Parts: sequence; structure tokens; C-alpha cells
Amino acid sequence: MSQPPEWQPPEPGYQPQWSPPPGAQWPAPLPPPAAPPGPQWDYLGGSPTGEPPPPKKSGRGRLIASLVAVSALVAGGVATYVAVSDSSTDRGAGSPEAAIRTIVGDINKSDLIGVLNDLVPGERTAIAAPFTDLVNQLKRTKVLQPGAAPATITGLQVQLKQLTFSGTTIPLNDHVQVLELTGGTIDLSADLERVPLTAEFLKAIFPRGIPQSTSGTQHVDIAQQGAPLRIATQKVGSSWYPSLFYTVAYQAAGERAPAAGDAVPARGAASAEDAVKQLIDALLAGSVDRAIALVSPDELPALHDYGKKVLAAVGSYQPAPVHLEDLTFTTADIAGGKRVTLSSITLTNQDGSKTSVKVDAGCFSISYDGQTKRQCPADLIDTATQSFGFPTKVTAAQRQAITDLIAGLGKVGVDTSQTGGQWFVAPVRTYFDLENEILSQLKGNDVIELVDLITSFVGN
Amino acid sequence: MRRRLAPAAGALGLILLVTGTFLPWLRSGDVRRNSYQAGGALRALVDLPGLLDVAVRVWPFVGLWCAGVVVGFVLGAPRFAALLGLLAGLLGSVVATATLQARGSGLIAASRSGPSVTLAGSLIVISASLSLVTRAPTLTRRRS
Repeated sequence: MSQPPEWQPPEPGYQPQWSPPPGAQWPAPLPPPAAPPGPQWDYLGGSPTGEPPPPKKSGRGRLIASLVAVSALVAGGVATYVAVSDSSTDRGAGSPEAAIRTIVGDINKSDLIGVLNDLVPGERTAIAAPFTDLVNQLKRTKVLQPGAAPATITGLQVQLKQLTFSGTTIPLNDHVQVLELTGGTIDLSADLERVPLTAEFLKAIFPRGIPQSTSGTQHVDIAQQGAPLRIATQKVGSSWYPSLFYTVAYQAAGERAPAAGDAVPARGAASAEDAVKQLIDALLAGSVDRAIALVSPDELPALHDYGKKVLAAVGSYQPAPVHLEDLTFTTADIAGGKRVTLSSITLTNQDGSKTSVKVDAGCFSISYDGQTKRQCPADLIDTATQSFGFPTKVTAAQRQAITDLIAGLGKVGVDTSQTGGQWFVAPVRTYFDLENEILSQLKGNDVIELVDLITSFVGN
Repeated sequence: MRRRLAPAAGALGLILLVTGTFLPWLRSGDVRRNSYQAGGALRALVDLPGLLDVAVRVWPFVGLWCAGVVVGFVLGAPRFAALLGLLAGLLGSVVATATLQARGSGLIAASRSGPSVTLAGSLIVISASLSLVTRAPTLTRRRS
């Protein structure tokens, strides 16, 4: 292969042959390009927001950045998938037996939150929120210690071990099945000293000290009981849940399944207030079946299924000798429903006279036969003291506690909820909320003062 | 050195923030629940007030959100990443602080470990985000 000739430097005196054409003029130099408006970064390739341009990445840098971005997205996606799965509120199980095993597992771990979540949604709503409120009220009124842990509030430890099922289920209807527990053990241990009660409350209840009999244990061998332990489960949507109320209803009915003819179908009202008015109307008229029809089918479906059996157990129920003339309410929103509280009621007696009661600022205005008498908590205490007589002197603090208690009674309402566009009353939730409403008006040491009053009354 | 400190601290903060959410936040009996399980259990049991309900509903997406911060930064949008990081840090610190304050309230017995780690991570993320946001204009002025 031949080599190109080597470059030689020009000889001295060498003149280049090219020269500009005569008369030719160079154009005037162009001005430098004007900078575009905005920060200089734009011109340099940065963003219009003024951020510095990202450093130009080499091929390797781009690869690393892409890998970091993809890794971050994958990690974030996995974390979100796990998080969304964990945050699911549905605790239902795939089968009745799995539902029982889930709640048993939570009971054994003393997991109160888990146990409440395992229940049928309607029962959970009826119990959980009022229970939470109750715990808070008891802490506020110095019954429970401020830092009380939920697991120790009951003071009850339950352990269920080696449970075995009969393998057969008893269908009550298309969405309720009863399971039979044939083997296993239940260990119960209750200890009042484990309940995180305040020292003041314990002193008020047990002025002479806590007796020895406040703790105990019990061992139950299910196989030795003579009959299986039967627990009802309910299907909601596609999931199964243990049902407290169906279990109670099944036991109360002598472990008999309801027949189709036993049902009292749910039939609600157009509004929350109307549901309560119709319930009062039905109870005054002795129409128990109408009262059952007004009960929430989400909370107490068992009551509807066993409706006619309940009617048979109640027997004949005479109408009250009054006619409901007028009712007024105040309504407040509660979780998943409304609380309806009585403002006034007017009744017509058999002789045509009218009685009306009006709740106003914690006092009761009672009108009868054209005369109105206003009774406030303090007046009611005087009336009670004069009528029944207290063997011990009521202190000022105790008197205040009674006043607050009566004020709480005036706030008691009926909880209602909506199902299928109709309004129903929720009796279980109302019952649990009753305590909260009364407790909500108590202040400071009111509970302890009331307990002191009762113990001194009983002691005398 | 200082240029790399904020992103490194931010990354550490994000890892702490997300890791903390999977540590115990709620104690009931022998069971410890992470922040997502706790949120789900609480939503099933009680009716949470408006803003808290919204926070609990978006909370499971905090991991993806933090991933968005990293992606934004490595793809050359530090301001956008800083803004996302700032929001994630604020959400994390508010939720963690509220949980730590809620010790012994009603059914809730809060565990300290989860909220504390998330709070620490959130505060680091907030600092790193603010540092990134304030740094960019300084560089612009110097070059102009």
C-alpha cells in the first residue's frame, strides 16, 4: 500500500494565488442574536421557570436514571398494592367456617378492633361506634384511666383452642347458616383489677377495698357439654360473617329455624322523624308487628325473620288509653344515619283532655287541662327528695351530678338509619347510644358523686 | 457536595416515610396494625370526620406518590419533584403527628414506632424539598 506524500512547508516568499475581487465589499457584520424574553436559562436550554438545565447525561447516566425511575415506580407500585390491600375494610370470609375461625383467632389475640370488624356490617355499626364513644365518655368522666388500652377494658380474657366443627351446617334461610362446634376448649378469665378503672372510681364502688371475689376463671370443654355449640353466620354480598344477633335469636327460638311464614317484612318510613313518629304511634296503638316492621333490617334482620314468633311470645298487647296528637323532634346527623330527639309530645286522653310535654333547655314544660308547670332538673330533685326521702344528706356536688344526669336524660334520642331509600329505627344502636347521651352531660366527678350517693343510700 | 446533599437526604426521608407507614401504628390486644390496616379498621368501625376521612382514603397511595418524587427528580424536573415531596412530607407529618397525639383515645391505642419513623422521614423530605426549591433560583442568578 503506497503512502501519501508528506506535507512540506512553503518556501520563503511564497504568495497565495487567491485574492479578493476588486471592488468587493464585506457585508456589515450581523448583530448578535437578541436574547429571547425570560430568564437566560431558556436561551441556554433551561426551562422557562428558571430552573437550571439538567446536566447532559451520558449514555450510562441516562441508563442509570432510567433504572432508578423504573425501580422507584416498581417499589412505589408494590407498596401501594400492599397498602391498598391492607386498607381494605372488608373483613368477610369465603365460607361460614372461615368466618368463625377468623373471629376466634381475633378473640384469642384479645384484638377487640379485629373482633368488632369481623361482625356483620350492620351489627358492627350498631355496636362499634357507640362502644368507642362509651370508652371516651368513661375516660372523660374519670371512670376509666386516661391511657386505658382497649384490650383490657373488658377485663375478660377468652381463649378458644382446638375447635372442631361437625361438618354439617343448618341453613336458616338463603343467607344465614348455623355451624356446630363439637369439640375444643374455652378458657375464660375475668379480673376486675385488670380493668383500667381509676382509683377514685374503685374507692367509690368499694369503700372498704376491692373484695377477693372480683376475679375468676372457667374452663369449658365443648365436647362435654352434651350438645354442640351453635353459632350463626350471615352472608352479606359475597362474604360470610359471624352474626351475634342471629345467634341470639336462634338460641332464643329454641334452636329452631324460622319458617317463611314467620317473617314480618321490613317496611320503613319516608323520613327519620316519620319513622320515630310511626314507631311511637304503633307502640301506643299496641301494633307490635308494625313496630317490628319499622326496625332496621340491616341491624336486626333476625327480628324480621323471627317476627311472628316474637309476636307470639309477646302475646296480646293492649293499646294505651291515649291518642297521639302531635310530635315534634330535633334531628342530628350521626354516622350512617340520624338521631331523632323528642322536642314535644301532645297526647289526647280518653276523656278528651290533652297532655303535652315540651323539652326546653334541659327543662320539661308539662301542660295538663289548661295548666302548665315547668320542671327543671333542680325541681325534679326536690320532688324526688320529698316524695321518696333520702336517708342521707345530698351534698351540693351530688345535687349537681343529679342535675347533669337529668339534663342528659332530656337529650336521649332514637337512632335511625336508611335502607333501600326507607328510614328505620335502630334499637340496638339507640340502646348503646343511650348511655353515651346520658354520660355526655356529666362533668368532672359527677359519676363518682353519683356512685357515692348510691352506695351511701344502699349502705343505710 | 451541598448539591448532592439535598437529593440524598430527600431519598433517605422518602424511604423512612414509606417504611414507617408499614411499621405498627395501632395496637389492639396482641395485634399491631400498620398505618393502612389501622386506617381500614377505623373506617370500618367509626365515621371519620371529613378531612380525616379523605386523608385516610388517599393514604395508601403515599408510596406511589413518593415514587413520583424520585421519578420527577431523575428525569430532570427537580422543582416538580420538590413540590411533590413537600406535599408528601406535609401529609406524612400531619397524619403521624395526629396519630401520636391520639394515644389512648377511645378504641385507639397508638403505637409509637410507625408514626415516629414516618414523622422523621416526612420532616427530612420537607427540608430536602425546600432546599431543592430555593436552590434553583440561586443558580440562575449566578449564571446570568
